[in-house]
Amino acid sequence: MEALAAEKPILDVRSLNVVYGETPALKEINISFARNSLHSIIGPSGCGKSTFVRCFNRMHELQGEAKVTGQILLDGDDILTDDPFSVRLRIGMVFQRPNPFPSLSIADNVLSGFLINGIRPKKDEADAIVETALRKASLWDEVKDKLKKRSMFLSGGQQQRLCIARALAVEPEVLLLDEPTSALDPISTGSIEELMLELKKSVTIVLVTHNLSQAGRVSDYAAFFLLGELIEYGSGSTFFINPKDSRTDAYLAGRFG
Amino acid sequence: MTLRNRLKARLGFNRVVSSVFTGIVTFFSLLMVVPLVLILSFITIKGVTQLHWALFVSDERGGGILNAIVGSGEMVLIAVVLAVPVAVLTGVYLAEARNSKIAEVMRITVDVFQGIPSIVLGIIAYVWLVVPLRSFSGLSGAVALAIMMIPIIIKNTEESLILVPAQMKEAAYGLGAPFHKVILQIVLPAAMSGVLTGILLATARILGETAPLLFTSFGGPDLNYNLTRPMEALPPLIFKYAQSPRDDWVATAWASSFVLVVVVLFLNLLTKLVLRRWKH
Repeated sequence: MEALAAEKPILDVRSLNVVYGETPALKEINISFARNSLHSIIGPSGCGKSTFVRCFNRMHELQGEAKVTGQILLDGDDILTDDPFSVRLRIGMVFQRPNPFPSLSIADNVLSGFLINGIRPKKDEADAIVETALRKASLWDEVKDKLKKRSMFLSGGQQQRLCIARALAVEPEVLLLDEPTSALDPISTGSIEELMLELKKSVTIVLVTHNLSQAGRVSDYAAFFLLGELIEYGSGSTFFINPKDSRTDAYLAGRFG
Repeated sequence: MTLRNRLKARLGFNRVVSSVFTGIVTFFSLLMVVPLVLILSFITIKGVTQLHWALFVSDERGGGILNAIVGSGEMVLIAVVLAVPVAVLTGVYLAEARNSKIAEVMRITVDVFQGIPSIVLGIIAYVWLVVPLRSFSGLSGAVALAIMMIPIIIKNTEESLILVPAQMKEAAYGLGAPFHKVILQIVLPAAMSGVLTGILLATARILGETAPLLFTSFGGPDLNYNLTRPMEALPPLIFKYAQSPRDDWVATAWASSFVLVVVVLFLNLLTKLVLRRWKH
């Protein structure tokens, strides 16, 4: 881990603790994420993966059930004490099930990060944002002729890429992906994986996944969580081939979880 | 300025509007509690001082309300017994036959039903029961109240049954279960809190009804357990005593109002309790 800390991380998590009522969900998490790379978070159900990424864009306070303590530094700013609205602009999120806004057109869905905040871009600006974001999300060629149509008729995979485009349109520094392919078929999953490999060149991605082979294919770094604790974190190549901790080894080998 | 910077610059303004909006929402919610608290405290102050033991154990004119308590109790009980099976089963039908034409028509009927003024339901019970039986009776009052309850319970039952996940039903059907088992052992138990809530709310609602009883149970000054004869109930009793020129009768009206409000509040709290129990 020393080697990773040497470069200046974009995200630095320091003694992060999350408690649901009386039950601890995350215990003393210390981890830092390098810029413009893909970090996958793996572990069995209930290990705290989703709880962990939801800390980054302050989703917990919407439910009001979890108590979050510690620090998460995004380029030095503590996002747990910052204004949640500006944090969410800097850290985008894509959820497990594709959730485009059903009443908006494809173009307006991409622009919704602006529209929903009361910014209405001019026609040429809007066109540029829509095209750039959809190209980044590899969806442009499929939808360029139907930008004014509702997003409902898109396939699940297309909808998920639309959600990624929506998140990218406001140019976040970090993109959180919470099991983005778990509701998708293998072909859509494949296209989203290719997309992640392309995106990580310009944005830091934190990916929660249940799919170990997916994590192996796309990760630069991987972290293994178990029962609310961070067991192991390392670069993808060594993590998946030669894990240090016997519990990580057992999980990767499919002996539990 | 780039769009992203405009977006950032906008956040401060949005935050202010957001807190103002939160403030307005909170303010009006609190505002709406004010009349409730005022009414409750007024009735409590006026009513509590007039409570005395004889009120509950005698039917002395102007001083005892035992006849009304017995009448309300019996009629509401009979109304619940009459309404619940019909309404719950209708609710099941509407929830299960989601797309059928008949269900669509029935749904509209139930909505219209709910909008019929309660005095009209009283007249209907009068024509159906009081006229053929040639007497005002507790039974006809109970029927009028039951008719009032039915649409409320149907709506609540239907809505809570719809919320039961289809996967749960599929799981039961997947094991070869017949329709009645799926409904009685899987769907209804899962939706029980909602169904019970509907029943309790409807009961609380009819407890305070005066109009449907005017031409049906009619009322009477003496203690009477017989459902085939005219019966007093709390709301019509309050209606009569409150208009009286005698101060002690008006005092009895206040005391009765307090009793009625306490019973209705109790039913509402019970509803909350049931909801919480079933959730965990």
